Formats: sequence, C-alpha cells, structure tokens
Amino acid sequence: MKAFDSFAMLDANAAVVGLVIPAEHRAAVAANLARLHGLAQEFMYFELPHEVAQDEVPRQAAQDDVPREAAQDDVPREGEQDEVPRQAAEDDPPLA
Amino acid sequence: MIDALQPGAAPAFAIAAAVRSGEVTVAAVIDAALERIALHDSAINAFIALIPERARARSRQLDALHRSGAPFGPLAGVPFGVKAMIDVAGITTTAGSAIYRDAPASARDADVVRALEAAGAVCVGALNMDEFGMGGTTENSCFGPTRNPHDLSRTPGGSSGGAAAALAAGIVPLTVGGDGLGSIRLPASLCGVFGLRPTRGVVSDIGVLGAGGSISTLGPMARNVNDLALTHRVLCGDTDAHRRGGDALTAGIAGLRLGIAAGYFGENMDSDARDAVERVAKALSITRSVAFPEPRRARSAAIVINAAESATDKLHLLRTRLDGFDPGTADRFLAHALLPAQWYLQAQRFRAWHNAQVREMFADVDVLLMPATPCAAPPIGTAMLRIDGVDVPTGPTLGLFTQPLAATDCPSLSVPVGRPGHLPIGVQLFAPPHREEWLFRVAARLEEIGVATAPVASAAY
Repeated sequence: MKAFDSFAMLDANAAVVGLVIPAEHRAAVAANLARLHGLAQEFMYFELPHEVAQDEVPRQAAQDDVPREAAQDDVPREGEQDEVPRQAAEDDPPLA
Repeated sequence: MIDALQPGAAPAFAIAAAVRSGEVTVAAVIDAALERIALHDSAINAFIALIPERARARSRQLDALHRSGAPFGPLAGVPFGVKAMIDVAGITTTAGSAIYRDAPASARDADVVRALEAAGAVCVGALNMDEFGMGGTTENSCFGPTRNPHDLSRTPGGSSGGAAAALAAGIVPLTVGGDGLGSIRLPASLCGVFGLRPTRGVVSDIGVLGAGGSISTLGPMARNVNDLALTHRVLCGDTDAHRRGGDALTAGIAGLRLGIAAGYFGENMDSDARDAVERVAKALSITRSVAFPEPRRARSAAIVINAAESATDKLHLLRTRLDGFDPGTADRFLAHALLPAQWYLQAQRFRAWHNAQVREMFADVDVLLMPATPCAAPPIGTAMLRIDGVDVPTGPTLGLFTQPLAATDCPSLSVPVGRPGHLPIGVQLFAPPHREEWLFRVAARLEEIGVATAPVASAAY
C-alpha cells in the first residue's frame, strides 16, 4: 500500500472543498490529517457484515432498545451479581 | 438547616424547598448568588457573561407569582449557568470564540434554558468553554483559561470547564454542559462533581451553537445526585419531575447487575484513577469483569465522526474569518473540513454495528463501571502527561475513557470519588439507552455510603 501523504491529501481536498490553507497553517493541518488518518485505519479495514448500513444510526436512541427493567426485589447476595438469573420484563417502560 | 442563601454550597433541592416553605425569597437567593459570583469568580473565570438585571427581574416575578398562589416549580429559585454555546436571551452566544464576541446578544433562550426556567430556576449567566468545544482543558477560550477551584494552577478539564468549575467552587448549584467526546464527564471528573451525558436525543439542542451533529448532547452537572436526577428530568421535559425526581434515589441498587469494564478500561491510567475505580468496585462488591466491545475502534470512529460534523457549520467561517479562530482551533477545523466522505460514512457504519454489540453486552449487565479520566487534573499548560510510565500528549489522553462511549446511544455519568486531601477524580458509570435511572441509583448508593462526594473547593477562597 502506498504511504499516506498528508500534504497531498491537504492540497487535493482543499481544492475540492474550496478552502485556502494559509502557509502558516499547512504543517499543523497536515499533522492533524495524519493523526485522523491513523484513527481512520482502525475502522476502515474492519470487516462489517454487509447488512450494516450507515443509515441505521438513528437521530435518537430508539426506545425499544431498552433491554430490561432491573427488578427492585431481585437482590443479589454480595459477590453474586453475575449469578442472578435474568428475564426481560415485557411491560418495561422507557424512562425518558 | 441548609442555608439557602449560600446558593452554591446548598443543594438545588434544598434551595427549592426553602423557597417553597417561604423561608427565603427567590430574590434573596439570586442576590446571594450574584454576590458570590462577584466575590469569587475572578480567581476561577468560570462565568464569561452575567445577566444580573434579567435574573433579578425574573426572581421578583417568581416571588410575585408565589405570593399570588401560583404553584412552585421543582427548581424554584435555583440559580444556574449554562455553557457558552447555549443561547440565553441577553447574552451573546460565543462558544468561547473571539469570532462571536462582538456579535449581537441572543434574542431568545435555548430550549434547555426555557425548560429550567419553566421549572422555577433562574439563569444567571454563561460559562466558559474551549473555543467551539475544541479542547479538554478550557484553556483555548478567547476569555482566558478557567481554573480548577481545587487547585488554581490546574485545569478544570473541558470543554465544559466553566460549568464544572462553577459547581466545584460552590458558586451555583446547577449547570448545563455539552458533551461530544467527553466534555461533560471529563471536567466533572477533574473538578469532582457529577456530570451526566444523557441518552442521545432526549435533551433538546434547539438554540445551541454548533448543534446538529450525531455525537454531541447537552446534559446536567451538579454537586449531588438528587439535583442531577431532578435536573435531568426537567431537561427531558418531565412535567412531574419534582415528584419522580427522588424515586431513583431511594430504590437502592438491589437487582441491578453491576460489572467493571475490563481490558482497555483497565489500562493507561495512573494510580489515582485506578484507586478510584477499585474503591468504587469494592464499595459496591463488583467482582464481575465485562468486555466492552472494540473500545479502540469505537474511540476512533467517534473522533472521526465528531471531527467531520464539527467542521460542517464552520466552513464559511474558515473561508472568511480564519484569523478570528485560535490558531490551534483553526488548524483542527481546517483538517476536519478536508476529511473524505468514506472515512465519515465507514465510521457511521462501524458505529451502527458497534451499537448492536453494546446492546448485546447489556443483555448480561445493567451498569458498567470504568474510569472517567486517566489521571487527576494536570497543571494548566501541561503538554505531556506521564501515564503508566509513558509520556503521552495531554489533549488526546484526557479523553481516553470518555471517547469510546461517545458514539453509543447510551447514557454515562461521571461520579466524583471522595479523596480527602487529594485532587478530585471521578469514575464513569455506563448504562443502556434511557436507563439514566439506573445510573442515578448506583450514584446515590455511592453518595449514601460516602464514597461519592463533591465538596466545595476551598482553594478559591
């Protein structure tokens, strides 16, 4: 794979977007682009199921995402939080 | 008895109770708050704009209403401040930027200000922040840095640094901040107060400069869980907030499955942060480790999404007012404006997948404990931090534990862990969407047993 050139990206994309990058900002902008490029590599090559679409991200968290209501009387013994059996309540009202 | 005329030190719920009982007038509370700001804020620089005339007029109006028999709101007479990106009629909305410093004052209130004032609270001013939220230390504001009330040489964190510092200094009992990648939780941790990033979308962002992205949300900050829960309900438009506000706090943690985040969230922190998490885990008898899915990729996706979205409404300013930005902010926004669409869209795809993984994780646990910040407040101007024996840059590092949660739909709460004689530091609690109540229950338990405390700082006095 060709090495990432942040200055080439800066020049190309600034022309596309119609931004003038003053000389005194070039080095820092390129450094920011290099940092963001490094971050993007974390997910750009991460294989996702093909059915995952970008538009699945809702503007507001869906109310039906709420998994369960923790029962008030369901008291775990000390150190046993992970041993308590769980069942989602069907009449589980969302809070907000 | 709680002195309602110490409106920063007194809890909001106690001030409201004193007003309701007739023990004190709203006008007296607001006068005391304004006097406290005048006396103490110059050392901290939490407030960047005040509206004393409006606040006094509002307080007289509320007192007259109460005398006429009108019902009291749940936050009757409580003074509050909002992050400087939130519109307040009579204040120029600057978002900490010189670009807007000389702009006309806002003609209207943001929805959150309206909601709090409809509940009887009284806005007294706007709070300092990093320019356009670009920072985690509240140092690059055109109004100068905000200082941490617990040690004036240190940062309060950011970008809602003014909102956290005003609470820690005991100047006001309630503030509203904004959280993209951690801008409520991070300063809450460094200033030793409670800060909630609510479920995405439940708090209106109408009347907020720079709103419209898919990451950021407004949220309440306070010095006790009761005030935080009550304010959250008011901000969500709960008209029965007063009655329901205390429900969560008396429910205890029985039945809640608690876990501690393993792996990424157990690394890259100093002994202060580690001790805080361990103290909370021990107090709540949490023994179960839970793997948070793909934290590094989630962090990267959140940062790239936030970067791309934050530049969208700045494009015109970058073309026409570049010299008005702080140079470092300009560098970042210029880079953000140049990001390829595929980086943004793939980050959003990853986010959709990641949210599903997080929902699966919550099938087995209700509330997850993790660090809020990797260390306590560093000195103002610190470029590099030493964490686990490694020198790392301050800016990106302070948000290591808040950023991986930013692209989820879920609420998270920074809880201050009491450490007498030491700088404050918080832990994070994380729950499924719309389960703020679970966070409040856990935080209330920690407060009840003395593990979570938000004492007023003494350094400013």
